[in-house]
Amino acid sequence: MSGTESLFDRVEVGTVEAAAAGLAGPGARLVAALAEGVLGEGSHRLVVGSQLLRPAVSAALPSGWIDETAGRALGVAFGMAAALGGAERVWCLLDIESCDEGGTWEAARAAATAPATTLTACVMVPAHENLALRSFWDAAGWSVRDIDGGNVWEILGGLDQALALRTRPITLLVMSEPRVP
Amino acid sequence: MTHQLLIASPLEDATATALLTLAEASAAMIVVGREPGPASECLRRFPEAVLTAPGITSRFAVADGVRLAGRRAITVLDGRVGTLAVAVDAGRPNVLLTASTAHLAAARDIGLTVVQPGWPEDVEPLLRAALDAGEPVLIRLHRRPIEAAHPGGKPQLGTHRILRRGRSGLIAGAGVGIPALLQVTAVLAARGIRVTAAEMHTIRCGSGVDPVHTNGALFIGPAGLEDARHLVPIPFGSRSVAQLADAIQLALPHR
Repeated sequence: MSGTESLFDRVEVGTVEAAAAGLAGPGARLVAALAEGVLGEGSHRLVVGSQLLRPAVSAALPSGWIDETAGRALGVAFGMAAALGGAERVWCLLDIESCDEGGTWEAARAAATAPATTLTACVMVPAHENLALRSFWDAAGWSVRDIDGGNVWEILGGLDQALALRTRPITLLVMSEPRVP
Repeated sequence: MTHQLLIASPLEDATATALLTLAEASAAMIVVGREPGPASECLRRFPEAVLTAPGITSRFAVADGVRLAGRRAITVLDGRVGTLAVAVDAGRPNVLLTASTAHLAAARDIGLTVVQPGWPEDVEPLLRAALDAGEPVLIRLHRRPIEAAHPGGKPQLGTHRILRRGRSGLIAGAGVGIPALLQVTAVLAARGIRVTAAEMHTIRCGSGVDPVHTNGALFIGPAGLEDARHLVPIPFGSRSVAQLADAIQLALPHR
């Protein structure tokens, strides 16, 4: 994808919805959006540290991703992003359980102070935990964006923002329940 | 470009120089904690080659990520890292650098190959060999002064280096034990007892030699190194060189 091209130029919302319908488990729309819009490009790596999202990832992407434990995934993703030096973007899928692991916060702080500018964490969170987690990621020095996990438009918008950001790592907090009005 | 540094000890100085050379050639990335140790100068000159991960759990994960991206990684341990057993996967090729003796026991318990260079000249070849080994390797750097001249040649990872040959038995040592090894063999030679002296810079898991013992003992056994399980540790304790030579002379199998 070129620097000016948006995900919306290439990916139909309906295509993502259709792909998500064939996936099991929560986070199906997020995984489908990643699979349809991002990961096929070739210059992306995926590390999965979320038990919650693993079924959907396994169904959408039979191979080509790294399966890690909840507490190690972000560290592995950070190491990859730093080693690749910006040549490829690294995506790390986490969930609320991953955020209970000390290793995740160790890596979050380390990544924010290093040149891991092409690292994106997508974190599935219940809506009621969103504010607390947002504070943590923000304090660790990451750019943070909230996304409604049921809304493909918002998901693509978040992925698009992550693709454009090359100054610091970004976390997309993907709420697994509809946002409370 | 040649890098010359003077840091804490001859081995750490040599390690710092080797790390600079590797970083300059983009041959490896170095993952450090809050104290970069021998990577301090590297961090200053080649910051893009050094990743700082103060957390213990994440440091090994970051190194694994570097490796999964197709690069080679060296992880610098510090005294805070006491949990190798839960943090290091013995099945993944990692190179760990430490100056702490505490890590020798941890490395033994989880089955890592332990490398202890005896001379500064051996650091870089052993470090490069460890990076190519395809297995996890702990490189331990002792901080004692090194007075003995380098024996010449390049050490080969996984093999012992014969420093002197004799038929009256074998004495082996590693790391901090090298000066004692050379002194004791010289005393025995003066007594007419010619032993084979071997430097065990590499100790593999299951070899029969406990790397922890290398920190305070020499090993004796029959001439020839075919089976390290026959080696018996003789602790230095507070013995003088002559007293240690006496003890070893009594214990030598071929005396």
